[in-house]
Amino acid sequence: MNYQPRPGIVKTTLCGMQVLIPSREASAYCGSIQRLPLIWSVAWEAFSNGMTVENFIPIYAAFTKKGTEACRENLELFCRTMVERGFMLEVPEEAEA
Amino acid sequence: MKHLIDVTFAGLTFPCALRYPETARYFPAPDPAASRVEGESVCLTEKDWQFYLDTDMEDCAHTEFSLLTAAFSDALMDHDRMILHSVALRWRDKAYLIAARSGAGKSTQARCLQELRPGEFGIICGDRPILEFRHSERSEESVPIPVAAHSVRHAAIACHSERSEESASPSCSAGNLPARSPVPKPSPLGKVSPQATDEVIVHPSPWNGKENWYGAEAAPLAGLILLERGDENRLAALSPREAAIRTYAQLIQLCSDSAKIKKAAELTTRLLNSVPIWQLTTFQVPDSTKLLLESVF
Repeated sequence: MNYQPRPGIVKTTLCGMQVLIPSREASAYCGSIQRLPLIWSVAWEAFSNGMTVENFIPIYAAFTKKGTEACRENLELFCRTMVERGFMLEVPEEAEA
Repeated sequence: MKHLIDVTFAGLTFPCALRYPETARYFPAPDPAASRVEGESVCLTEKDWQFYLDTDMEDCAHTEFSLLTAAFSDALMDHDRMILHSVALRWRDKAYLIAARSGAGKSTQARCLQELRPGEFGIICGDRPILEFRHSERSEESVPIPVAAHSVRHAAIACHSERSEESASPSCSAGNLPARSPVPKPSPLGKVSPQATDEVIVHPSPWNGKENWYGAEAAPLAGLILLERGDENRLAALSPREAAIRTYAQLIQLCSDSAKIKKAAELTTRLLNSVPIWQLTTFQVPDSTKLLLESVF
């Protein structure tokens, strides 16, 4: 499964923090502002540009110094959480082909 | 057919197109001395109306007046101004904002302040004042900073500092003080945030809330109080980061344009870097108001 940001979510800087702010149209799915730590901010940008989870794993591994499987688990957890909170959408891998 | 009027906010006159001519009566006459903003009229689009009427708001002049706050706040952002959901007080020629979600008790605090110190507090705007950001060179000794967090739970008073590096009051240290100890007021002098580059002026607006409080003149902002309900009365200093999301949530905007959303975040950052910020947790009045008076005013 791959992921992409929901349309209408704005990533910006607030008091030095990276945050996700839902626009009016997106607010029906995610009403609150989400703070993004640095690596997740980088992941967000990567997924916004169409990068797959698998292709982001090496970047995450280099940043966190964790092993591949741990990175995959953490990334999947991050993405699933963001989907549950309404900030991201799942993109079936068949749609990528 | 739209009804066209001119509306003046914080020194700027905007053209405004109304769906209901009766909405014009909510706005004061435009100020001939104000600078005129040329361009498209400020108005609610059909998409705006559709979005808000889907939330069961009545389609009428009063609704249009209420919703225009967001449209004007968006327009004002292009001119380094914005509208913040708060009660704007005037005390000794300075403005203080009490910001919180609806129902948290902003008006109650404002009323208590006026009752406990009759004649000291004026109200610039009861619900949605306009903040104007003016770039300025700040001196190191121009802005007071909060020095202590104070908590009252029934009869006990504890005092501790949440900005230990910047504390200007050596008498206030971590630990419990005896009940009824005098609480040190913040020093009028102190270091300012290195990011502070703005003087923020708080202006009245026609959106004064159900109490229709207004009357005091515009004043430079000296402090922001974020209010919340809790199980104790407590006052704490906040850093800009700690206050950021809650403050942003009280900024009035249409939230339909990504550039405006980003601008709103920029202005919120500038606001929080320009003045001291406190969090007031209120369990009951007037005790929480007395805490505010002892520590801030």
